[in-house]
Amino acid sequence: MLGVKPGDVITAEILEGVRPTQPLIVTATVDELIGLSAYMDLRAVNRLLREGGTLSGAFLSVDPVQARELYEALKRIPVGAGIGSRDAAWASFTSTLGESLGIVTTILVTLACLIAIALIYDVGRIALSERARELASLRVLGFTKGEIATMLLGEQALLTTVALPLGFGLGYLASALITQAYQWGALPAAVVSGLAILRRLNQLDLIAVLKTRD
Amino acid sequence: MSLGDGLPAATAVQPVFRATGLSKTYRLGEVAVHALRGVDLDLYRGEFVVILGPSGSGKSTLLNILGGLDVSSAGTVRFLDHDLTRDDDRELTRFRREHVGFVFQFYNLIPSLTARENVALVTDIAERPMRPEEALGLVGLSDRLDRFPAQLSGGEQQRVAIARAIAKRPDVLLCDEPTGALDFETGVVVLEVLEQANRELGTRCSALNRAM
Repeated sequence: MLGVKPGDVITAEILEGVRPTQPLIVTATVDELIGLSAYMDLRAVNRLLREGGTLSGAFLSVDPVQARELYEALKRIPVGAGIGSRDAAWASFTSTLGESLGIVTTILVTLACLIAIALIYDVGRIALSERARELASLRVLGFTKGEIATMLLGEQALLTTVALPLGFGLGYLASALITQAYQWGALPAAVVSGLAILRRLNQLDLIAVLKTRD
Repeated sequence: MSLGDGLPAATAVQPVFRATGLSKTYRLGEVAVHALRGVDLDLYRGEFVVILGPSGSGKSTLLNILGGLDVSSAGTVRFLDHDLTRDDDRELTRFRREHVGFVFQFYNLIPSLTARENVALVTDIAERPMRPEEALGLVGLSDRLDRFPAQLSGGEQQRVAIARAIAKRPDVLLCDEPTGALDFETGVVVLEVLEQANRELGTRCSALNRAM
């Protein structure tokens, strides 16, 4: 971030006490994923800060079996400011990440379901309005509601069945993971749309369709 | 409303249809429209009845109620021993399916099916149907079996509709303005076909209406 390389001289300001500044020579650079730290030989730090034998922090490699005893011992240290465990930090990091990922997935799947419902319902409505006259004629001829519903919804189901694997393929190309959740969301969506169309079918006006010619 | 062409009623014979005090009221917003007011009607076996009346006099409504497409607001309709006015939608559907042949002014054929397939629609769900080819032969369309409705003239389409109606050997044939969309000559052909079908198939009775 500072754009320095080994051998350069940087000026460090100590943010304590009288805030003295001190030139320091960079001996090496390190890449870190989290946080921004500078590393220095402990004795050099103590000299620089004029602190004597002080430790502001230590990374410990802990045998899990004796972790409890270690924590007990650390708690008894009079001037220890606090302790942190890498495992605990990692666990909380992954759980936070997992939670937010879960929320995002839920939102996306919900949206996908809503879109799928709207789309499939729309296609069904269009099919119905295009064929209302036809279906009503069939009802007049003695076809039951169930039979014409089977015709229309069967067609929709066939379309959905054919469209699903196609959608799977396309979705997989677009995004391997999240899109799969979208696709499965389409199944209950198709069912809900089908039910909504069924309600419409039951309201077909048998008389009106005979009076008008489209 | 007047009834013409009917044979004198034989009192000993049970009528096929008996309507008593039939009324139908539509609600258009605040206004109640009386399409039928207290109609009494008996239709007997073998009758070929033409219902005449001016436009809007309730002819179609009467046929729709007789055919189980519509329900009356008051009065009763009996088909043989069966009270249609007590039926729910499911039973009316079955009544139409088993007993009634319909012909409409605008044919109501399925445009995506050929003449043969349009007739087959009905013969597939009927109990003792004739073959679609036979029905189409009866109306003189043996050479038009695989034409789509759009490839047929109005008169031919109406004859397909008649073939569809008679293919299940219905007990009654109800025709709502069957010649309404046809010119005079074609209309005569269609009426002859209907009359012939009524005579040859032993249809219990046929009723058709005609605007006057």
